[in-house]
Amino acid sequence: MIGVGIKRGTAELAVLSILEEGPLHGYEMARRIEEQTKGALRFTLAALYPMLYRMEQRRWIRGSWETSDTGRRRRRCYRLTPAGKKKLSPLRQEWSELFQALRRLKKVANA
Amino acid sequence: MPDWQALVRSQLDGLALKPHERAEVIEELAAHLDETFEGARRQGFAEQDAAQRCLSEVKDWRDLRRRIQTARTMENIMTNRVKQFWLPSLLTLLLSMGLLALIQIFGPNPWMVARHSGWSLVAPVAVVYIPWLLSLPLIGAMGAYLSNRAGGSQRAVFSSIVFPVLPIWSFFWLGFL
Repeated sequence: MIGVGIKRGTAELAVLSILEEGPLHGYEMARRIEEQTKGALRFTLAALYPMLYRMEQRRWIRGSWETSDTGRRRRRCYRLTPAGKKKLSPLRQEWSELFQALRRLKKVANA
Repeated sequence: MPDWQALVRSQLDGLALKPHERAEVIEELAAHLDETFEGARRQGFAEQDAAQRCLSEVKDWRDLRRRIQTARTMENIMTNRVKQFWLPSLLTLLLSMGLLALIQIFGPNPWMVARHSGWSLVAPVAVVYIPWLLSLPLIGAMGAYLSNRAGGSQRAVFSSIVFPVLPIWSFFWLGFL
């Protein structure tokens, strides 16, 4: 299980990455992240929405109200903005470098 | 099914946002709980267990309220402060200083002001550039326009006008002490 601190750091990357696939509302976003990470990353409502609002303020994502197919529920769908797309690439790079560094560290530890 | 709207509204009571923003947050969080509940029911949870699962999504409502508040307003305030005060102020300061430098090089001779002591002039001597002084209201007006356009309050607009005056005034005040 991944610790809370690491999770917090990866959360924005996870949200930006999942939104790269297409616009999603909060619940679906959390569900897909949990499914794709096999439960390693799980967003509760309390963790997800303050982060989404923060990312929206930074203009990385944009939310708009949409009505569900059945027409009985209004949901706020988030989509990636050009600024968010621009942010995604360096974020991926940073995390990739971190994981590579940790792998190297493991090799050193095992030597 | 529990009334999630009522629950979220009561728990987020005191969320200091504009009424329509608060209503949107409540609707969005309630919709999330609603879907969590339905998802749990589809997985075979009993109604009570599904509701419990939804409630476990938020351990501390007060903390959530604080974090939503911060996320939706603090950065707004910072952005607004930059747009309404710092940007116009620094621009007016930069323009006024740049123009002063240009006038010093290319402009007419300045008007010299000095303190008299008997028959002799005593330092410090103030050097007044009339064209520069005449340009200041225009630069101030530009700062005011930018601040006003960004939705600045009267205080922010006024502050961005007088911002370049403060360092200059302090300099003269210290000089004449």
